[in-house]
Amino acid sequence: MALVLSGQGEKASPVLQFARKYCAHIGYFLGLLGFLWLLVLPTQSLSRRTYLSENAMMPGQVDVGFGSSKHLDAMQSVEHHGQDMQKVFGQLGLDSEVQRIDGGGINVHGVLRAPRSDAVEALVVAAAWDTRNGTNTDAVRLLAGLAQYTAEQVYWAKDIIFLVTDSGERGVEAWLRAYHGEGGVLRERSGLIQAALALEMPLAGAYTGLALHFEGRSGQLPNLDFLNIVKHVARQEKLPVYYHGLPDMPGRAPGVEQYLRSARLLLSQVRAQAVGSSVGVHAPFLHYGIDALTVVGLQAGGGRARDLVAVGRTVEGTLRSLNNLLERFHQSFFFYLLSGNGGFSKSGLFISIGNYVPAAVLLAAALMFHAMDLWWRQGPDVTRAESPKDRITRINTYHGFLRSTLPGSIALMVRVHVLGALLFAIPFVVPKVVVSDSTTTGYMFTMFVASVTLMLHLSDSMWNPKVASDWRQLKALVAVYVAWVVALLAVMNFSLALAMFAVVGLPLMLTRAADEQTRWTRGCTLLMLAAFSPMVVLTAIRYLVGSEAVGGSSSLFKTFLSDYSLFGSPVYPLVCLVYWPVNVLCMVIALMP
Amino acid sequence: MSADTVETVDHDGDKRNPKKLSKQELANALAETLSRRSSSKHDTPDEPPASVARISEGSRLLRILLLGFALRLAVLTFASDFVARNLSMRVELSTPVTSYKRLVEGLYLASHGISPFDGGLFHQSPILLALFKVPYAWLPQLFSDAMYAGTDVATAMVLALIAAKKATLPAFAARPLVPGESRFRCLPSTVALLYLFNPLTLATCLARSSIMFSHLATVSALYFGIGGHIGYASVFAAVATHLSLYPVMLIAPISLMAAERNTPSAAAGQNQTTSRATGIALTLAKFAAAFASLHLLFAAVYGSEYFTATLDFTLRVSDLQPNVGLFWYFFIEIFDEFRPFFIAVFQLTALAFTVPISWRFRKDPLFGSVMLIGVISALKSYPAWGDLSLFLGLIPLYEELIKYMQYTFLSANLILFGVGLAPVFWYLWIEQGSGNANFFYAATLVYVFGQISLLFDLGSAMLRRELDIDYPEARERTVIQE
Repeated sequence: MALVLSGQGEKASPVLQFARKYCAHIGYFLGLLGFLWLLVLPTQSLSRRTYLSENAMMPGQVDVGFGSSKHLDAMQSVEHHGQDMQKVFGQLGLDSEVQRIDGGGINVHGVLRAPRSDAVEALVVAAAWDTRNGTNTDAVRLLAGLAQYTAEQVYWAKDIIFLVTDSGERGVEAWLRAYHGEGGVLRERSGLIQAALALEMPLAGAYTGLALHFEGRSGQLPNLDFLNIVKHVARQEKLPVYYHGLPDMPGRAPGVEQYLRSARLLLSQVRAQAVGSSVGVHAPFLHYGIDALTVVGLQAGGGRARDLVAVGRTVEGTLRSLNNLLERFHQSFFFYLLSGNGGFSKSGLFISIGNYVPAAVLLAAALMFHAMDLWWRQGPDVTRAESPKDRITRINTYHGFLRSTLPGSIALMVRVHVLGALLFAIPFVVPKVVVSDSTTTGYMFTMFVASVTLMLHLSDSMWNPKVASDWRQLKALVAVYVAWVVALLAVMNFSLALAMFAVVGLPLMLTRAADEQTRWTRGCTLLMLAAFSPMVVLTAIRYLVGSEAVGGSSSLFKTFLSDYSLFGSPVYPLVCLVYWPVNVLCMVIALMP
Repeated sequence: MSADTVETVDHDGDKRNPKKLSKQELANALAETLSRRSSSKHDTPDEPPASVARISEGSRLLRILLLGFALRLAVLTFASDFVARNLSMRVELSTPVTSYKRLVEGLYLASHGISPFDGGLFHQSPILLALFKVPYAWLPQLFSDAMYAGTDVATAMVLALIAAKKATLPAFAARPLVPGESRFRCLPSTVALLYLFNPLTLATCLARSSIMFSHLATVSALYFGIGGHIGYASVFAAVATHLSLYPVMLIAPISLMAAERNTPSAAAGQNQTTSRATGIALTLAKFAAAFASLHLLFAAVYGSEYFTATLDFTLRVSDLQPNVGLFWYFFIEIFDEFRPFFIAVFQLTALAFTVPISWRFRKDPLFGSVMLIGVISALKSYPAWGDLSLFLGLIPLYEELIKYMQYTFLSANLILFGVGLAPVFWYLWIEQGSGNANFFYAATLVYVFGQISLLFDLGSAMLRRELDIDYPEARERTVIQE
C-alpha cells in the first residue's frame, strides 16, 4: 500500500521514495513492455494448438450421407435468385413462415421438427440471398439440399431451422428480435437456439477450401469448440479451413514470413473485433448469446477443388456434431485469438486470454503509473517536502491546492463530456433519412470545428490568473479515466481496448511528456493531437485502408452509427463519449499554462 | 490502527519511548492553538461576512435541491423506458430487500387483501406499504416518482443541515484546530451537491431502490442525535432499523451523543460517569421502546410473519441473488449444516464493529456513525451501490480529515474499478454467457476492498488529527502506526 500513497505520506520508506522517483519511468517501461508483448504474439511462442475440449461432440465419427440424387434435386429446385422459398420449404415438409421486415425485406424460415425431442432446443442454418461480393444463390441451394437431407433422417435431437433472408444482417437481426418476442410474432417457433451456422458460397461450383468468420458486432466470439468442430469435419472432406480466409504459406516458409503471416491473421481479427465483423450474417446471433459463425467457400489458391456437395457434407457433419450438444457450449475458450491455421492438420493455433490480455493490462497500467506520477508532482513544491518539520504546512498547502483546483478540473471534464453526450444524441433526434454520407461528413466537420473552438475557449479561460488550475492534475485525472476505460474494455473486447489505447491513451501519454513547454513543442503536440482526432483518424481509415475493410457503407461514421442502433455495437458511443472528449481534453492540457 | 500504540519518531528516525506530556506543555499548546486559530480566522480574506454568507448559502442550497429534484423527476418521467431497461433490474442497484418491482408486488397483494409477506417475494418493511398505499391505489405514477426523488432530496437536505449544525454546535466548534488550518469546512450546500449528484446516488434513486427511505431515516436520526433531541433520534433509528436492519448499529453512537449532552463539562468525577451511564441507558431504552412498539403495530396488522419476511430474512440471507456484497458467493457454496454457523460469523463481522468503533471515537460520536455507515456499506448482507453513496455523502462533513488521508489514490481507484467492473462482468456472465460467477465476485472483492481501505484511511486520519491537536509536539514527528 505504501507504493500508492498520495502526496501526504507520513513516512517515506525507501521503496516509496524509489517509486516516487521512478514512477514516470515505470510507466513508460510498462507501456513499452505492453507493446513488446503485442509484438511477441505473432511469434507463436504464446500460442497453443487448438483441441476439442467437449468430447461429447464427437465430430467426424459418423457416416455422412449427403449427396444423393434426391438431395441434388432439392438443390436444383432453387432455380433463381429471390425465389419463393416458402414453397420450397413447404415441398420438403417443413413448417415454414414468411416474415416481412419493417423497412422492406423478407425472411423465410422453415422448421424441421426433431423426431426425437420436444422442441426445446434448436439449431439454425442461415443464408442471405446476397452478400457483399454478389449473389449467394449457391448457399441457398445448398440450404435447400440440406433441408431435404435432414428431413429424411430420424436421429435429430434438436429442431433445425433453415433461414433465408434477403436483407443480410438487418434481416437476421429482425428475425431474431421476432423470434425472441421483441418485435412482431413468429408463428413457427422452436426452442432455445443453441448454435447457428451461416453459409456464404460464391458462384463457382468448386471450392479449394473454407474460410471461417466468427466475430460479432461488439467483438463477441463463439466458443472455440465450434470452430474446432467445423475444422475437424471439413478436414475429412479434404477441405482445408482458413480462419478469415487467409491461406497458409506453402511449405516450410522462413521465420519472417511465418511471423508476417501470423501477424496478418491476428490483425485481421483485431480489426474485425474492434469495429465489428463485416463478413457473413452470423453476427446478430452472437448479439443474442448464440454461438455462431459463417462458413465461406474459397476459390483462390492451389489445392484440389471440391464441389458444393463436399461443403454440404461438411455442414452435415457439423450439424450431427452439434446435435450431440448436451447443454450450451461451455467447455472450451470464449476468449481467444487465432494465430495460425495449422495448415491442413485438424488443429489450428490459438492464444488464450491469459496469454494476450496482459498486453492490454500493461498498457492500462502504464497509464495508471503515468497518472500516479503526475498526481504526485502536481501543486506547489512545498507539498513534496520530505521533512517531518514541515508536515503541517505541507498537508495544509496540499489540501488548499486540491481544494482550489480539483473542482475546476472535474468541472472541465464534465463539461466536455456533456458536449460529447450531445454529439452522441444528435443523430437520434434528426430524422433517419437525413443521415446520409454527406451529412455525416458535414457532421464530423462540425464536430472538428466544435472541438477546436471549445479547446481554444477552455484553454483561454485557464490562462486567467484568477482561475487556479494545474495541467498535471487534469492530465492525471484524464489518464486514470482512460486507463479505466481501457482496462474495462480489455476484459470484454481486447481488440477494442487496443484500438482505444492507440487513439486515446497513446496521444495522452505523449501530450506534455516533457515538463518544459516551448512554443515549438506546443505546436507539435497540437498537430499530433489533431492527427489523432476522430475526424482525421476516421477519414484516414476511409481513404487509406478503404471502408470495405470495415463495413459496407462508405462513411465510417455512418457505419458505426447504424451498427450501434441496429446491433448495439459500442464503437459509436465510445467515439462520442470517450474518444472525442479525451482528444479535446488533451488539446486543452497542451494549451494550459 | 489504534493510536494507543502510537510511537513518536524523531525526523532522524531514532525512536523514543512514548512519553506523557506535562500539564504545562498541554496548556501552552492549547493556548497556542487557540490563538493561531483565531488569527487564522481573521486573515482568511475570502470568507464573506456571516450574514451575507448565510443568505447566499441558503439560496444556493435551495437551487441545488430543486435542480436535483427536477433532474430525478424528469428522468423518471420522460426516460422511464431507459430506466426500466438499464437501471431498474440491475443487481448492483436493487437487491431483494430494496427492489421496486417487489415493492409493487407487495402493494398489489396488500391491496387485494392478501398478506404480502406470505409469498416469499416481498421483504420490505410494512412502513413502505403504508407509505405507498395511497399513491399506489389512487394517484398517478408521477406521485410515487416524486416521493422517491423527494426522499433523496430530503436526505441531501438533512446532510446539509448536519453540516451547518456541525459548524455551529459548541460540541464541534469549541474543539481546537490544527495550526495553519484555515476554517476548512465544506459548505452545507456543497455537502448536498456532492450527495445529490454522485452518480451512484442518482442511479440508486432512478432505480427506485427503497434503501433511500432507510437513508433518510438514518441521517435524520444523526441530525437529531447531534442536536440533542435523543427521543426523535431513537425513533428515527428504530424506523431505519425496521427499514434495513443494519442502522441498529447506530444506536451506539447516538447513545454516546446523549451521554455527551447529559454531561456538561463542569460536572465532576463520579457524577459524570453515572450521568453518562444514565444517558446511554435512557437512549437504549427509548430505542427499544420505539422499536418494540413499531414491531407490535406491524405484528398486529400483518401478523408476526412480517418479521420472518423482513428482518429475519436479512439476517439469514435466504435469497442468494448476486449483489455487490460478500455473502452470496460464499453461501451458495456452503454445506447446509454449516449455514447457521457461518451466517452468525458473517453477520457478527459487521455487527461486532458497533461497540469498538463507537467507543474509540467517543469524543465525536458523529464520526463514529460515519465509520459505522461505512462498515455497513461494506459488510451488510444485501448491499448495493446506494449504501456506498450514503457513506461517500457523509465524508464531506469531515473535510478537515481529507488532508490526513494517505491512500486516497488507491481507494478511489479501487472503488472506481469495482463499480466499473461489476456491470462488465455481469454482462459477460449473464448476457453473453462467456464469463461466470467468479468474474462478478472478483469485481465485488475489488469494490469491498476499496471501501475497507477508505474506511481504514478515514479512521487513521481522524486519530492522527486528534494526536496533532492533543499532543502539539507530535506535529513535527513522523508517526508509525502499527
